[in-house]
Amino acid sequence: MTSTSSSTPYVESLLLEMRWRCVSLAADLDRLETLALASDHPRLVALKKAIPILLDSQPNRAARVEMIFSDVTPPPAYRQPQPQTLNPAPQA
Amino acid sequence: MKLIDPHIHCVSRTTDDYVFMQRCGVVAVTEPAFWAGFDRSNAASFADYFRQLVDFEPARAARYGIDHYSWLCINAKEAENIALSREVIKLISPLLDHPRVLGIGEIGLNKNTRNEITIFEEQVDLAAGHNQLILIHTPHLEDKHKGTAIIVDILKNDRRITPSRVLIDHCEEHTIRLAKDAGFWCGLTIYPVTKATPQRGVDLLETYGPSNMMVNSASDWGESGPHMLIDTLLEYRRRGHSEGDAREIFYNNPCRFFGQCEKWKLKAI
Repeated sequence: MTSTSSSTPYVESLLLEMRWRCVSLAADLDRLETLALASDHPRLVALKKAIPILLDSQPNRAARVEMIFSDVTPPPAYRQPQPQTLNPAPQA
Repeated sequence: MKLIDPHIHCVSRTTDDYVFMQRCGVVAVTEPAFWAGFDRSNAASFADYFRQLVDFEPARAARYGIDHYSWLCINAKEAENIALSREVIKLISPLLDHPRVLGIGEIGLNKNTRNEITIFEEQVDLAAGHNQLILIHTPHLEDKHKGTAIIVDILKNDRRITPSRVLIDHCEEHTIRLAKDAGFWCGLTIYPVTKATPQRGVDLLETYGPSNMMVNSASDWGESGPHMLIDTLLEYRRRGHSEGDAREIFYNNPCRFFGQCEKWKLKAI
């Protein structure tokens, strides 16, 4: 494969690594099919939601993928801290 | 080039790692107290662990020219046991004057439970009462965003806490703004599988700038290693950033944050 005029060694290296990771991901998906994993396994469901983001045209893909993998249920109730002093003792 | 690993669990590492770090230019490390990979059965185990952190490990590191400092706490995972946690917290206060102790850490959350939050708040109270620096552990994987949000909310609403004296560690793409927008220092942990890669770490440095940012390996008893710090430095330099810019992130910023504790001796260059 030849390089384009706008490419740099860094970009070439990055694209080759992405190619390697893309093939790895494809092989991972092939392998999952052989493992008879339940189609509603939460991590698999999340992966299927995340993969389309890789090819959409919006920015911040990594953060959006991370949020798909995140627990978004409400936190447990907790009290707000009540400051006892605004002038703590000096550090030793 | 001199480097600092701001977060590494040396008690879990071999002397080969110290040799490697020394060869790569690492001149200082800080080591937060953490989960040993198993739940300890009583507070006495922590007393011994703290002695290892403040006495034995600095001496071991010094043999390789590395200045070693520590942070003390009960970690978020074992904080689920409130009674044990409170016994351990009692052990910490007398050690805060130790010349190798920089503050309270790594405190935070693991599964974001009510018990964890209770002990987190009690350790924030301990830090505030003794005017200590704080090093925060944010949860792993799917628990990270919720846990980071809870932690930031608690700290922001505590008027005793100065954000510039708190390092929120293990930030990733979806959590870094929670910490950075509130004025906290941010740690990027370069660690296989559960955290960031060197490339993603440098992406975050380029997106958010070097101010109040640090990079660490958090090397521990899992698959990890001090080379992750070096790999990130190399990735940063490979993208054309100068050695001076790298020095800001990999040496000067740790000196600036840790230097808020008078026990820290290294100065920004």
